[in-house]
Amino acid sequence: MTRVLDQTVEPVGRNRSRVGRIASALPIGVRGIRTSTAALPTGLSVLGFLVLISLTSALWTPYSPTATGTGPVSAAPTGAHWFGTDSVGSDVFSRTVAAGRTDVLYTLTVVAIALLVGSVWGAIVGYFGGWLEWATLRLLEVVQAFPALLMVLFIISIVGPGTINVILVAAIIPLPDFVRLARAEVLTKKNWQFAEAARMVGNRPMVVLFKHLMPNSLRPLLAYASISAAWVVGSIAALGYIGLGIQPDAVEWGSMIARGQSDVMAGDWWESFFPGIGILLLAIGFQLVGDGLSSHRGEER
Amino acid sequence: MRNDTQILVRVRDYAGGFTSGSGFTPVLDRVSFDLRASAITAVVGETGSGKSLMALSIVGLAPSTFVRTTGSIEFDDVDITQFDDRSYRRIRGSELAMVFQDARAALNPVISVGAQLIDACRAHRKVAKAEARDIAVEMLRNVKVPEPKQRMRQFAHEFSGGMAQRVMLALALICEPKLLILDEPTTGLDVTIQADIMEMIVDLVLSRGMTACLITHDLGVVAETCDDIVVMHHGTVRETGPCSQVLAHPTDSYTQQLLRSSRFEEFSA
Amino acid sequence: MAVETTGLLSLRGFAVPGFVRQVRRRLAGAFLVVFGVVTLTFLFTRVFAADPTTLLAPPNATAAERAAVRSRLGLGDPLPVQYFHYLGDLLHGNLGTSYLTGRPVTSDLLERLPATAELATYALILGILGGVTAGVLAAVFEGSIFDRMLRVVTSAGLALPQFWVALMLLWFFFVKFGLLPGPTGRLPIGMAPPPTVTGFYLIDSVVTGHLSDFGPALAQLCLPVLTLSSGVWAPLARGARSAMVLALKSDYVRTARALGLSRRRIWFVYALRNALLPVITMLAGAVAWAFSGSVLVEGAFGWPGVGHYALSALEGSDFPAVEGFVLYASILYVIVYQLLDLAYYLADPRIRS
Repeated sequence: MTRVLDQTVEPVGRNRSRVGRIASALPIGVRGIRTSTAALPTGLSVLGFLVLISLTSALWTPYSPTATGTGPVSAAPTGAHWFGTDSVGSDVFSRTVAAGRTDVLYTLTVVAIALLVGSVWGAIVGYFGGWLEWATLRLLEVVQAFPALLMVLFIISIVGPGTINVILVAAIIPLPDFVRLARAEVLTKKNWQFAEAARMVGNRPMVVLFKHLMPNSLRPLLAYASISAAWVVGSIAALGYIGLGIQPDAVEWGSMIARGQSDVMAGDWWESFFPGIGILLLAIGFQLVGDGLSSHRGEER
Repeated sequence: MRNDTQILVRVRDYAGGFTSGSGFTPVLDRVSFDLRASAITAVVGETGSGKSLMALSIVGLAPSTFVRTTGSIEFDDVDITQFDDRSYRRIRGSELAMVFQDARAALNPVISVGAQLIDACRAHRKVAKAEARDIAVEMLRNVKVPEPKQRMRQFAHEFSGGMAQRVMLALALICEPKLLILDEPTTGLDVTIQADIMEMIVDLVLSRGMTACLITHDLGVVAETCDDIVVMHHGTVRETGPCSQVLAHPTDSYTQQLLRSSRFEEFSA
Repeated sequence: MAVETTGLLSLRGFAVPGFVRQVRRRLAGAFLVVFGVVTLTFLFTRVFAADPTTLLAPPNATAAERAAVRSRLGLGDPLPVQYFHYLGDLLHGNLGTSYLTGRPVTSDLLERLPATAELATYALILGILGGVTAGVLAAVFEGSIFDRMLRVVTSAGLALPQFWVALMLLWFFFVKFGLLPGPTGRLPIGMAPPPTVTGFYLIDSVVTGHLSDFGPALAQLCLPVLTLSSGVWAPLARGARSAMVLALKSDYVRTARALGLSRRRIWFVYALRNALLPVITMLAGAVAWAFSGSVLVEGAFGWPGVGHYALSALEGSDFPAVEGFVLYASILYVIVYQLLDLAYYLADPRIRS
C-alpha cells in the first residue's frame, strides 16, 4: 500500500482558488450537494428535544396551559413567567410548550398517513403500470392544481370539522408527492438485478414489491417525509390560526398566534412571538433530519 | 527514432492526497517522470493508480479536496505548481490541453457545439466571431467530422460517442497547444471506432509536432503508438523509459506482472 | 435560420422544430387537468356534501329558502344533468353569487384581482431575482460564510409561517417603531386611489401624474411584499444553489476550465444556463403560490385582494365565493404550469429530439 507520508499537510502552492482553500480548511466534507453531515444528528436532537418537552409538558410546566389568572394580565416576560402572560392571565410559556404537543401529534399523524398510503399506492402503480398508473398520474395532477391550504379548508367546510377529518384532509396535500416518489423509486429499481432475482425465485409480485423493492427505498421516503413534515407543521398552524378545523381557542401554536394578534398590535408581542418560534424550531428540526437523510444518500455514490 | 532530448514537462517528486473530514489520505507518492517534446508518452496503470489525478494536476484541475504536499511540475521550464488560477487559465487551452474520457458528458448539453468551439478559440486568440467560426469549421474538418457546417449548430446529445470525442479533440486543438493530455480517450467506444480515433490522434499529434501524454490501460495501443511509457501503481511510478525497451525488457516486478496479465507477449513481435 | 446558440438567454425562438405540436399538446394537457379540477369541485359540492343546500344556500336560510335554492339550482335533478348545467355555467363565466356581497363571484374576483396582482408581481420579482441570485452566488462561493448563512436563512424562511412573519413585521415596523404604515390595505385610510390604468397603484400614480399617491402606496406595499416574497425567495434560493452546484461540478464545466475559458464565462454561461433549467420548473409553483397562496398574508395586512376575499368567504360560510376562488386558483396554476413547461421545452435542447 502507499507509504504513509509523515509530513505535515498544508495547502501548498497558490494554484488553488481561495474558495478551494477555504472549503478544504473547514472541518466539513465538500463532496456532494450538502456541505454538512452534521445535519442529521443536529436535526434529530432538536426534534427529539422538542417532542420530549412537549409530550411531557403536563408533568413539568410551571402552570397549566388552560389556567387563567396565573399572574398579571398581559405581562411581559419576567422571571416568574418566562414568556409572559396573555390577556386572560395564562402563562404563555406553559401554553407554548403544551401547544407543541398538539402540533407535533397532528403533524406526525398527517405525515404518517400520507407516507403509508402514498408509498403503497405509488409503489403498486409504478410496479404494475397500465391504465391504473395513467389514471393515478392524472388524478395527482388535478389534486396538485388546487391551492393547498384552501383546498383543505374547502373540503373541511364540506365534510365538517373534527380532529379525524382535519388529519385526513390535511394528509391529502403531501400525499401526491409520496405517490410520485414511491413510483419513481419502483420504476428505477424494478429491473435491477436483485428484483429480477426475487422474481426468478418465484415470489408473487406483491411480495417482490414490498419485501424486496420497497425496503431499499426507505431512506429517500423517510427523507422526504421529514421534509414534508416541515411544511405540514406550517399548515396545521395555519388551520389553527384561521380557526377553521382547529378550534380558535385550542392550545395550539397557530391558534395562540391568532388569539394574541390584537394584543400584539397593541404592543404585547410575546403572546404570538413564542408560538411562532415553536413552529420555526419544529420545522427546522424536520428539515435538518430530512437534509441529513438525503445527504447521506448522495454520498453513497 | 527520435533523438531529441528536449523535455517539455518535468514532474519531480510530486506527492499529495485528499483531505476530508476524517483526515488526510495520501494518494500520490513521489511521482517523477518526463514528457519528451514531440513524443507520445503513455501513462499506464490500473484504476486507482493515480494516473488521472496526476494528469489533472498537470493541468491544474485536481479536485479541490486534493492537496499537494511536495514536488513540482515544470512545463516548458516554468514551475506551474506555483501558478494561481489566473495564470493557469492563460496556459490551459493555449499551451496545454486535455481530452477526457466521456466526451458526450464533457460537452455542454445546452450550448451548441459550434458555440463551444468558437468560445475555446476566442479564449486565447483575438479573432472576430466570423473568423473564429471558420477556424472552428476547419478544425472539425481536421478531425474528420462530416458536414462540419451543419454539425456546428448541433448539440452534444446529437453526436455519437466517437463523433463527440472528435469534437473534444477539435476543442482541445483549436488553439494549437504544445501539450495534449488524453485521459482514456477511447475507453467505452466500439473497438473499430477506437482504432479510428487513435489513428487520428496520432496523425494530428505527429503532424503538428505536439507532445502527447496518453493515459490508458490498454497496452496494445501503447505498443502501437507510443514512444515512451510511464508505469504507475498505487500512486507511485514503477518504471519509465522508451516503449521499445520497457515493453520488451521490463525491469520492475509490477511492470512484468502487468505485461504478463495482459498477455502482452502475444502482441510484441 | 437557427445559428449557433450561446449566451445566457438565447432561446431559439419559434423556428424550433415541433413547437406548434408542443403548444397543442400542452393545451390539451391543460384542458384535461382543468376539466378534472372542475369535475372534482363539482363532486365535492354536489356529491360529497350531505345536503348541498347547506353549502349553496346562505347559512341562515330558512327551509323554504333552501327548497327554493334546491329547485333553482336543480339539485334534485340526476347528477349528469346537474353536471351539464354546472359546466354550462362555468363556460359562461358564471361562478355563482356571493352571499356576503350579493354580487356575482366572478365580478368580485375580477374587482379584487389587481390588488393581488400588484402584490404578487412585486413579491415575485423580488423573490425570484433575489432568490436565484443568492442561490447562484452561494454555489459559486460554496462553503463560504455567505453560503452557510444562506442555508440557515433559507431554512428559516421555509420554516416560518407567513402569517407569523406578517404579524411580527407589523409589530416591529409599525407598532414599535412607526417606520411603516399599519394594515390598512393598499392606501392609508381616507386616501383615494389614482385613476385606474393598470390597477397597479404604483404604475397608475406615475402614469396619470398623481405622484403624491406613489409614496403612500409604496409604503403600504413594503411589508406585504416583503412577507410574501419570503415564501418565493427561500425555496428558489435553495433550488438555484443545488442546481448551480451540480452544474459547477459537472464534466462539461471541467472541460470549459480545461480550455482556459474565463471564470465569468464559465459561471454565467456554461454553468448558469444549465442550472436555470431546474429553476424554471420551480417557478410555476412560485408564481401560482404568489397569486393564490397569499390568503393569510392578505388577511394580515387587510389587503383587498382575492385571497382576502376567499378568507372572508370561508369565515362567513360564503360557499360560492370559496368555490369560485378555488376554481380560479387551480386554473391559474394549470395555465402557469403549462406556460413554464413550454418555456422549459424551448430552453433545453435535449428535450427537443
